[in-house]
Order: sequence, then structure tokens, then C-alpha cells
Amino acid sequence: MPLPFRGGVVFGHTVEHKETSQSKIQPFTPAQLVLLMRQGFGAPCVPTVRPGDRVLAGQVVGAPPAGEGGRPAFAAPVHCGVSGTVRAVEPRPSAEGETLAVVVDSDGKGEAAPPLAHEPGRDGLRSLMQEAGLTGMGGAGFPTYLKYATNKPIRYVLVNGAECEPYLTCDHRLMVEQPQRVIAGAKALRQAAGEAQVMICVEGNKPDAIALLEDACRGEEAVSVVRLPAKYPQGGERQLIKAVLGREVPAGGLPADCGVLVTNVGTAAALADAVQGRPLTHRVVTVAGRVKRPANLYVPIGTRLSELLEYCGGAVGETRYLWIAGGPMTGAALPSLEVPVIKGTTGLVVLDRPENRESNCIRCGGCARVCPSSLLPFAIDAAVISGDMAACVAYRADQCISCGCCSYICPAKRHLAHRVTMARSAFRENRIKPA
Amino acid sequence: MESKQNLALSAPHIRRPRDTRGIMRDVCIGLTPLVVSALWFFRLKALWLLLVTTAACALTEWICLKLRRDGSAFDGSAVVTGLLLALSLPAGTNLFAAAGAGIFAIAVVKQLLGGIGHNILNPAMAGRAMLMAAWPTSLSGYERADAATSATPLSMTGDESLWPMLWGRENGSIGETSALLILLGGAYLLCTGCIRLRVPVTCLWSFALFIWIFGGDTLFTGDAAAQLLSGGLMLGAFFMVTDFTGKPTTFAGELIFAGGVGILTAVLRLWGPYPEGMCFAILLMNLATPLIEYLTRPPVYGTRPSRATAPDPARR
Repeated sequence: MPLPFRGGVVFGHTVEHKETSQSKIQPFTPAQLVLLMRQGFGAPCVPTVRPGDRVLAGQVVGAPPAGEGGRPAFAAPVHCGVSGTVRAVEPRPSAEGETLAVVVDSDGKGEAAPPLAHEPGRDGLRSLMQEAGLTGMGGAGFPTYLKYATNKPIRYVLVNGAECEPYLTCDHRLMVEQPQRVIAGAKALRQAAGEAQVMICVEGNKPDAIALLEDACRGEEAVSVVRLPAKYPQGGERQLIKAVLGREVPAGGLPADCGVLVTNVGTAAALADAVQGRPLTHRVVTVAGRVKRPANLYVPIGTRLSELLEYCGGAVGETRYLWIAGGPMTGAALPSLEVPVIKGTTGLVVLDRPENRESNCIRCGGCARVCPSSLLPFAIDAAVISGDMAACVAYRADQCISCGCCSYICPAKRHLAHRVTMARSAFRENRIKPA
Repeated sequence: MESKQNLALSAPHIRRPRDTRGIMRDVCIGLTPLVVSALWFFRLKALWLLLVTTAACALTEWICLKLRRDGSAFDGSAVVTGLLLALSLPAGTNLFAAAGAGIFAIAVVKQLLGGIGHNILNPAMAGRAMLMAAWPTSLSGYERADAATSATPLSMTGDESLWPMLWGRENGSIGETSALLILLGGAYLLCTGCIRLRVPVTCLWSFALFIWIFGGDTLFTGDAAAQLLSGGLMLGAFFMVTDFTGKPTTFAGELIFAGGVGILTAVLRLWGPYPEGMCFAILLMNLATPLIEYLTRPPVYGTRPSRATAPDPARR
């Protein structure tokens, strides 16, 4: 029986908006891909193709740069999902502003590059993870091979199918439509982690996914399915570990420090593909919110969000929209829809632009109650405004996971998560040592 | 980094619809049964008192917000303060004194310290304490609901049956007449999430326990039931101890705060110079709130001693 983690918010149907949970995944391939050379955590990749070059589906177009001591820096290579011609190598809009990108015009033939091969065994799988360009597909985009390169003893691998963010259903549909692929990936993860116990963790608001996965892993000894209560941020890896195993990841440490690795179901499915020789070139993206025809689309990495929205019939009505890459709790508001899908893009959520006027904190304590890290967000908020970094240290702002629960709950509409995250970044950038 | 654009685009992009104004509206609704009972028992006197304090508080708040050029809109918290102040005063209170208390509560106790959320003391209680200290004769109008002037209920020997106290033939402040209606209002606040049950409950049981132990002629003979139902205890436990701003926000802090108010009220009632102890008990604990909050910070995730030895779910 899973234990609860502390804090969090129970949204309920009216806020969750999981209307697309019954929308079958549809394939969609655009005529042009914009492959950003930075797809999440790690160093930006170096383009390996030039304008005019012909590329094949599954071919590497961006490789990790040389790092210290001649070894490649920490990053996952970028593969092209279509065959065609490189139109340009130039900076393109991204969620961070502008990022160098390889732009490929598809020829519609889908001619494939030779499949990946890998050595059997744990080390073979780990280098396969790197060659296939696997990164965390739940949002953070941490290179998967780095996670599994740990030399700490790993007892558990949690395959994260919680999908606690409102609106998003891409993982849900993946588990419902391709449970076998998820289980195959889970078994490969088990091997990559050194024969660890694998648990696929799903929130109880996806009973169909749980039933199908349980059927699919019947007879497997080392793979099981765990039903979790629907509570945000159940899919935060630290909260997931606490809920499933009762363990806490030490502050400043990684899940591996308590013998656990957490990997998203999408990443597990991508590993199953990699074992079959196909690198990570496609993913499922939920398009939801104020959209004419909300849908789950299976698209190549590099598809521009404007094309996704167009395919789904555009936005509803005529108001000031907010375009969010990812879910509404942690996703980034986008400067433009020219931003392409990257490996960690779980969805495109279109919302009305909110009008929140901050007023004084009334000390209701709601933020402290919902904070899964047990912080006092209102106190950090006040410390940031008065520039008191020492207080931010004392209140452990470095332990914020940026889940956004505090801002969500605040009756005074204060931008708590924004300021606590600012304080946390100050620690990370200036390397202030927390007390 | 603090630009408006940046703030508007920062995650999370959805917010709970509940806002400060909604909370204040719900507190006002929760106070309605008390207002009705005050009007029923004290008629015009209660009406004037309620009108004067509420108007004084609301007007002062409005003027202060204008003077401070505070962008924050009028959120209704001053109306709550005005109602609570009136309900904690006896029916015969001098109306000028009552208005003065209201102005003091909002202008000095609340707005001078930065407005809602920044006050250290509960404004309504501080206003009442100011009256008791500076203008004690204005408060001498404690009277029975049936208008027979008498000593305050708490200075009488408790021969009365408990039922009238429960239903509302109690005398004292106009909002303290009926314990049942206070419970009704409190239940509404509980249902709307404005208060947490642990706060009034901790306050009441710690008070009752202390009275039971020390309130009688010998130990363990105190009449806790009569004391629970009399005076401003119930009103305070549900509507004033639960005030957000004055109490700690942490779980343990809330319990310590509420328990402290209960015990201090008992101490002041048994051995203090005034017949009523709730008001000063709340103010004293308000002062202790920052310290309590600091000492009861919850342990941050991942900073507890190693949990590598947590039970192994595979073996459970």
C-alpha cells in the first residue's frame, strides 16, 4: 500500500481537465522539423550536418560537444525523425529564447538510417541509452544514461506513470494503447539498473491503464504495478519515492543515494524502441485547453507547436491566450508558437491569460500546508522581497521543487513559487552553501 | 526579474478561485447567527453597537488605504473586525467609545503596521483591550438580556442551570449569548475551510482541563462545563483564536497557540483582575506567535536523519 507524501493538492475533475484521456493517439508528421540542439538538461549539442545535406530518419544531427579531458560533455545526441534535406542550421525560437537548431525539410519518404545495435548486458544497455538519445520525457529532460551510470547500488526502479499535472494525458494514453511496449521498456530498465525491482507507478484516476498494465505484466516477477492516490505532485520523483517506498532522498542528493532510480513511462517506451534499434525521434504530445479539437498526437521531435495547434483546429474564441509547453502547474509560458517539440514536451496547453493581482499575505498558512518539501513559502516570499538571502538559506529555499502548489493555493494570489524558485536559483548560481 | 511580464508568465498558470475577499465574506456569513442572536436579545442596543463599530472600522480602513495609496482593494476584513469588536462588547457600551475602539483597531493596530496580514495583534481584541484599559467605565454596561442590570456573569456564583447558557439567556457581551449559535457559525467556517477544527478544539479542551484541575475549592473539582459556556470563550475559540494573522501557520504552532490561549484564559479567569480573560489571553499569545512559528518549523524534506532503513515494501 503506498504511503502518502506530505502536502500537495487534490485537484478533482473540475481542475484536472483530463478530457483527452479517451482521445486515441494520432500520428502527425509535419513537412519541416526544427531540431533544437539543446533538448533539456546538459550541454548544447554540436550540429553534425550542414545545410543541403541529405539526412535519413534516425540519423544523428547533433552530437554532444567535447567536454573536459576530451570526453564528450554530458548531453544526449539529437536524431532526426524524418528523411529529407537540411534547410538551415541557425538559431530558432525556444522556450529559453533562442537556441541553435537544425532545420530539416521532409521528403515524405521516411527512409530509415541503419538500426542501432547494442551489446547485451547492463553496460550495453547503458551505452544504448546514450546512443539512442534518451532523456527524461516527463519534462525535466535529464539524460537517461547519466542517471543509470550511477555506481551506487540500486534496489528499485520506479517507472513514473503518475501524470499528476492537469490537462496532460500523453502518458495515460501510452499506457492504455501500448502496455506491452511500456513493460518491455520496464524490463530493459531493470537490466540497466542491475536487476533492480521495477514498479510502474500510476495514479488511481487512470484505472484503465492500471488494469491493462497489470494484465501485461502478469507472470513477471520483477515488474509490478503500484496504484497511487491522485494527488499533485505525485509524479515529482522525490514525492513518488516517499509515497511508494517511504524513503526520503537526502537534501542535495539524488534518488540514487537512497537506492532508487525514477524514469518516466515515455522514456521506458523509448528504451523499448531503442532495444529494437530505433533511436528517440518521436513522442506523444497532448494538445488541450482552449483548443477546438483537443488530441493526443504522436509527432516527430522538432514539430513546431503552431502546426500542432493548427492540426487541432486552432484555439477557441478570441481572447488573450497563454501557450504553455507542458502542464499548467510547471510548464513554461511560451513567447511564441514557433517553438518546436523537444524530447521533454509533454503537451501544449492553451489557457486564457490569467489576471492575478497580488495582495498582502494574510498568513493563512495554506502554502505551508501544501508544500511537499515542508517549506514555509510565505516566509521565503517575504525574505526575497526584502532581499534577505540569509533568511532564504535558513528557510531552505534550496529544497524547493518548483511544483507550484503554494501559488496555486494562495488566496492572496501571491507569486510564491516564482520567488521561492528565484531564491533557489540564487543558491545554485552563486553556490551559496545552505546552512 | 520582478517585472510584471515575468510574474504573469511564471508557473503555475492556474490558481484556485478562492481569494481573500471570499474568505472574509465567509467569515461574515459565519458571524450571521451571532449577529441575529445579538439583535434578538438586545434589540436596538445591539443594532447601534454593530452599526457603529462596523462603520467605524470600514471607514477607517478605506481612508487608510487611500492615504497609503495601497493598491490592494478593500477586501472586507475591516467589516469582520468591526463585527467581532461589537460582538465582544456589552450591550450598554458607550457608542463613542465603541467607535474609538474601532478606529484604533484599524488605524493603529492594523494599518500602521502595514495592513492586512502584517498586524501582530488581533485588531478586534486590541480595540477591546484599549477600551478596558483606557475607558473602563464605558464597558460597565454588562447587562442581562432581560435588561435587569447586574454584575457580570463571570463574577456571579454559578448556580444557574447550563441550559439557558447554551440557548442564550446568558448575559455578557452581545455576541456571547448563545453557545449553540456560535457552534453553528463555527460549523460554517469549518465547512468552508476558513478554520481548522484543531484550533478551537485544542483551545477549549486545554481550558476545560485547566479549570477542572484548578477551578474548584480543591484540585479536580472545577466546574468546567459552566465555564466553557460562559463569557467570551466560545466566541473567541471559534472566531478569534482562529484568526489567520495572529496565529502561527505551522501545525504544531497552531496547537501550542490555541492551547496557550485556553490555559491563559483559565488563569486570568481564576486569578486575574478582570472577569473576562479571553481578550488578554489572545493578545498575549499573539505576541508569542513569531517565536512559536520559528520554533515549530516542520522538518524540510530530505533533511531528516537517514531513512535508508525505512521498511522494505517488498517484504511488507
